[in-house]
Amino acid sequence: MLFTSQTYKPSEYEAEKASNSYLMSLVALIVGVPLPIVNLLATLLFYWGNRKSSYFVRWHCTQALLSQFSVLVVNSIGFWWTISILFTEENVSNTYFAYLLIAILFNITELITTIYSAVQTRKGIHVEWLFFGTLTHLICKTDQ
Amino acid sequence: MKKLILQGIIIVGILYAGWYALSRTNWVKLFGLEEIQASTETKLGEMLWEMTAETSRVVENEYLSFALDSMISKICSANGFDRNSIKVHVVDKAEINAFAMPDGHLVVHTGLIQSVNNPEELAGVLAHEMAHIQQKHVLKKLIKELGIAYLTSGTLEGLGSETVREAAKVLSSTAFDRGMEKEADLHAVDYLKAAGINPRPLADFMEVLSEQEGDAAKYLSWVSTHAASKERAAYILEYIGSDESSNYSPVLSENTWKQVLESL
Repeated sequence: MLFTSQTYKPSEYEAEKASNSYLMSLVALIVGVPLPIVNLLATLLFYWGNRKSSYFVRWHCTQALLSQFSVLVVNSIGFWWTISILFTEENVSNTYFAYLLIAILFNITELITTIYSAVQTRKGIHVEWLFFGTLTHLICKTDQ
Repeated sequence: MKKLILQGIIIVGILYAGWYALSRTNWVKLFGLEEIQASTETKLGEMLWEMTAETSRVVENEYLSFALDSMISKICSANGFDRNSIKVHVVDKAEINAFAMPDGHLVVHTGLIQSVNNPEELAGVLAHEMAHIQQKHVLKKLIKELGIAYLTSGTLEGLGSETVREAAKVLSSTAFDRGMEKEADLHAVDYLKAAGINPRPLADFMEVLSEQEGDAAKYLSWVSTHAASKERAAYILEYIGSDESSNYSPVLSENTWKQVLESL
């Protein structure tokens, strides 16, 4: 679920930087699958590089970073569960397949949301994700 | 903060509900994994038995076949098992050993048959190995020791002789974990009781063998691969408890048992 608002009009440069934070995680997500740590590291590096930017850029870099944590958790569980099936006595089960499907759906949702956020922020439109937007508000302080 | 917690609960709730709903579908059946696993087990069982038969002398005589078939049929029919699911083989080896292989192959060494004091002890060992088969411990053990990827790659490529060799080694010379051993012991007692065979000799057999030392010890594979025999004998006896029925009948007649021993 997404909330959009246009109370603040960012500059062209800010919109591009904010949009890039989502693109960064998007590209890394594709490269990183099935090792979810790659996309998190890429987003983290981008966040680090922009931590002194304007509020709009920092805010979106933070939201992109936080959302990647959830991908990391969901995909890591799936990854290690698969490894345990392949190399230990753990068996494939309906619960495992259900988890894989949910993880895939979660990744697709994340992918679509990320693309949408990248497009919208490029236009200078502020996009807030459910939960991650609220969490970002708590973490990311304004310039004042 | 309240809003954050509420939104967090919503997301986790949606994911969990979705996971729960999807897990109600029988994906394992839908993807035909049970069939794949069964055919892998059949192939692996065949390959393992072929390799065992190639490297040992298979003993086949009418007395032995009758005796073993009679014991196994009795246990199977009393417990509702398909008799054809157990394929018992006897190989000429001095080692006191018996082990289960995938797809219901059960290998017994002549050394074990010669070392038991009575046919009930042999029936106890057979019941124990049948419990490993029924509880699907064999494949679980192989997967644990070698990994499913290793096993399936070996069988899918036709025959990975190295895979089969390793699997045979794992099954004949390493122990199941304690939990599996205990499960097999207690199930064996249940099977024997249901079949009207005295389960106490199973405990006696383990106790007697665990006390043997010196030169004889090197032949005690069945005990050494089934750790803590004394402890196991104790809990088997405890499980049998005072429910000592006088209704147990001899699993074989004295004459048949004598003929079996003479035929080896």
